[in-house]
This record gives sequence, C-alpha cells and structure tokens, in this order.
Amino acid sequence: MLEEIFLNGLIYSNLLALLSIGLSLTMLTSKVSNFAQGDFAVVGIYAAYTTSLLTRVTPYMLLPIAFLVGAAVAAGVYLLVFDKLRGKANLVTLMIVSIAIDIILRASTQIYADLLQSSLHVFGRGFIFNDIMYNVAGTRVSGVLIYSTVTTIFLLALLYVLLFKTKLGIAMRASIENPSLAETLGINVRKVFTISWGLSGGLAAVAGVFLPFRMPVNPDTGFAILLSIFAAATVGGMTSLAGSVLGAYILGFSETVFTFLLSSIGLSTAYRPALAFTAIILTLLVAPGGLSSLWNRKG
Amino acid sequence: MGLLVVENLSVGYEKMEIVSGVNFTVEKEEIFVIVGPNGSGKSTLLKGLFGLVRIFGGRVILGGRDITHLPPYKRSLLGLSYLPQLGNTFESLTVWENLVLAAHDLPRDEFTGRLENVLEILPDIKRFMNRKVHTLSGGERQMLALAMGLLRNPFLLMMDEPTAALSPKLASRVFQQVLELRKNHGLSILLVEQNALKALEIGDKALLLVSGQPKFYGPAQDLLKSEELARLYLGV
Repeated sequence: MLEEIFLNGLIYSNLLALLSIGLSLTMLTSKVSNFAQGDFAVVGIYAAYTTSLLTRVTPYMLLPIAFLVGAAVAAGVYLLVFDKLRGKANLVTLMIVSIAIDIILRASTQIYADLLQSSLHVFGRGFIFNDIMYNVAGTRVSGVLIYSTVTTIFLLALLYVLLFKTKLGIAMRASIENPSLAETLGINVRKVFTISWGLSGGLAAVAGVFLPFRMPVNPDTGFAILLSIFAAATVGGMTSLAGSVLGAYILGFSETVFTFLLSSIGLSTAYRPALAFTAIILTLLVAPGGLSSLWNRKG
Repeated sequence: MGLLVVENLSVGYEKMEIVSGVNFTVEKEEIFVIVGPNGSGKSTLLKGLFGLVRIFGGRVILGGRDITHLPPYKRSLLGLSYLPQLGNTFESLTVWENLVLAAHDLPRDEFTGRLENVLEILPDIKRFMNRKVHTLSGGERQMLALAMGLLRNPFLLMMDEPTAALSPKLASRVFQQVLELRKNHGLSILLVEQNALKALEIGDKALLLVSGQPKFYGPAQDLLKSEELARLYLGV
C-alpha cells in the first residue's frame, strides 16, 4: 500500500514540477501570475490525443509533438498579448488578462473537442489513454511512472544546462534581471521572453500528456489542477525555478497522502483542494517568499 | 557628415517631455561632453539616443542611417554602446557571465581576441573573474561595466556619469581611460558627467543642458572660458 502511495505521489509530483517550473518562468519573465498555465497542459493533451488517433502511435511517443504545440500556443499568447503590455500594465491587470486568456483557451478547446467528436467520431471529452505495463525486475510497473519520471528528469536537466551553460540561458537570466540593460547589450529581449514562454508552454503540454493515463480529461482539466500548480510554485518560491520543483514534490506527495487518508476514513476526496489552499496560506504566513527565500537569505 | 547627428531631438517619459529641441553632431574619434546641473535631462537625453525613453520629435542619425525608431538592441548591434550610470551590470551573474553576455553575438575566436584586448586595458578584472557581481565594490562594478561596453567593440561609446560614486583617484583613472580609448582605439565617446570641470578639460566639444533646454553647444574649451555659463550652471 505504501509503495502504491509513493508511486502515485511520484507521478503526480513529476507533472506538478513541469507545470510549476513553467509558471515560475512566466512569472520571472513578464511578472504574470499565469492562470492559463493549466490550459497549456490541456493543449498538450489534445495535441497528443489527436495525433495518436490519426497515427495509432502511443501518446508517449508523441511527447515532442505536444511540446511543440504547447510551446507554439504559449509563445503566441506572449507575442499577441503580454508583449504588448510589457512595461504598461500593473500586476493586477496582467493577472486579469491571464484569466481572460484562460477562458478563451478553455472555450477554444471546448470547440475543438466538439469538432473532434463530430469529425473523427471519438470521445471529445472524458477520455483516457491506455497505459503500457512493463516488467521491471519481476515487478509490473506502469508506463506513466517510468515515462513521467524519465521525462521530468531529462527536461529539468536540459533546462538547467540551457539556463546555466549556454549563451541563450545567460541572456534569459540577464533579461529577467534587467531587460533594459540586456537590450543595450544587443539582446533581443522580446525574442528571449518569447522563448521563455515557449518553454513554459512546452513543459506544461508535456505534463498534460501524462494526465489521461491517470484520470479522464476534458477541456476544463487544466483549470482543475491550476490551484495545485500555484500552490507548488508558492510553497517553493514563485520566482525560483529550483524552489518551484521542490514545492511541486512536497505538494505532490502531500496531496497524494492526504487523499489516501481522506478515503481511508470514509471521507470524500473532494476535500483534496483544501490541502493546496492550506499550503499556500501557511507558506505566505511563515515564509512569504516561499522555501527558496530561506536558502537565499542564508546565501 | 558626422558620426552621430542629432536633429531637433525631444525626449521624455510617457506624456512628459523632459528634453526639447537638441541639435548636435559627434565626429569620429571625438570626445563629446554633455554637462548641466542636476535634473537638467542629461541622462534622459542619453537614454533617448539609445531608444530607452519616448521620442517626442526629431531625428537621430548614426553613420548616415536614421536610427530614431530602432529598438535598443538593434542600435547596439550597429556599433553604439551605452553604459548606464546605475544598474550597468547583472548582479545575479558572475563577472565572466557578464562578459560573455556583452559579446554574445561574437564567434568564440573573436570573443577570446577581444577579451584579451579589454583585459590589457582593464587588467584588474582578471582578479575577480569568477565572482558574482553583487560581491564586487562600486569601483570594480564600474570597471566591469566599462569592459562590457568595450567588448562590444563599438565605434561610439556613450557613458552616463561613469565617475559617480567613485573615489577621486578612481575617477581620475576613468578620465585617463577615456582619453586612452580615443587615442589607442579610435573610439568616439559621448560623456555625460557631473564633474563638469574635469570632463570639459578632456572634451573636444560640449553641450550644456539647463532644464531640458540646450544653453550652449560648441568647443568644450569655449564653455570653460565662458565665466558666466560656467559660474551659473556648472559651479566652476
């Protein structure tokens, strides 16, 4: 039983890590508390679902396609909306605009789901992906556990190399700290921020592909997990990429254990979001800057 | 035609025009000094030349090309380099990363060659190459900012109060470096300075700004000689 709780917690935490690090990226680059982050995950789900239906390939093999579609949508959102507001809108305005983007993307996905249903005669909502089971050292292990863990480690390592070992990464960190100075050194900050948003959308879309292996999904799934994404980023530190990852694993495991405890004493798992809210409130009370502010203070 | 030609330029922030109707020309290998009392709009004018504030009117022409409405990063790629007075380095990055960033558009070989040249001019940087910028002193940061500007191999270097917050000894070194950059590297330099006397001594031409309006434009020595202007506006 404990092993099952741990494995479920790991899968959920992997997804949260990819989603919350993307949220931190958009927060760092354009100061947007992005309410559309969950929708980028849904874009990934539908991109993988559609391609899988057309090609009969397992969604695991379609992760790169989901990444590209999610990245394109997020980059488009930045260029069409948030780039125009750079330096002109305050934090509240940016947040409200991101809520509007969330509503538009959800409505667009609803329309897409209807089109999918009528044109391919498949479920446009409430579908799941069939998982593959592997035999690892005599134990049957689900594909989603293996693929989500390997993918998360791979993408986080890749992101680390990009940010700290390449010129583009240095330019991204510099543009985040002082965009005006970066411009004076010949850096196209608009391009750098577009890439950041693209990365954020791509990571979220990849995380999204793993969701239908665990639960039925629909165009509102992104909004349903939004609170957990914000909670993970808040616990870790909204403007710290490492903090977001740490927050994701703390919250992911906590939520999984909490859900198990609720069901074991006969209570509804509908109370699950209470944990995310509690985590946000406690973090803001104890360390408003999140866990990363504690080690940054010591440093 | 001059290297940088400024025609009837007016700049400011949002709806507020700070500097109005400025005309001047910077020639090749010239040290051009902009002086004036506090709040006269010197730094805003420099930002305007680099596209960092709103242009209300006029034109900026660099090497015969109208750059009035080009974004800042494109001006930098054209050979214009700007050293802001404050926030002129990236504090969260190391010195090495700041230098890499300043030369981000160069191939590795060219970067190595240019870095060697810059380190010949500013050898002290080698001592703190791997440190994070937030651990450096004000003088060390200023040195790094200058190195970053030089790494871009500009033909026109715009410096906004490079001696601000420096000790008199360090400030003298900066003025010496400005002269050497012109003499040894053929750079044109546009210098905004609070230390008017020292700046006018090394300058070829000067612009005096008072409350956003040009009060004098001509040879720097003439401004120094004009007792009334120097006394009224420069405290000389």
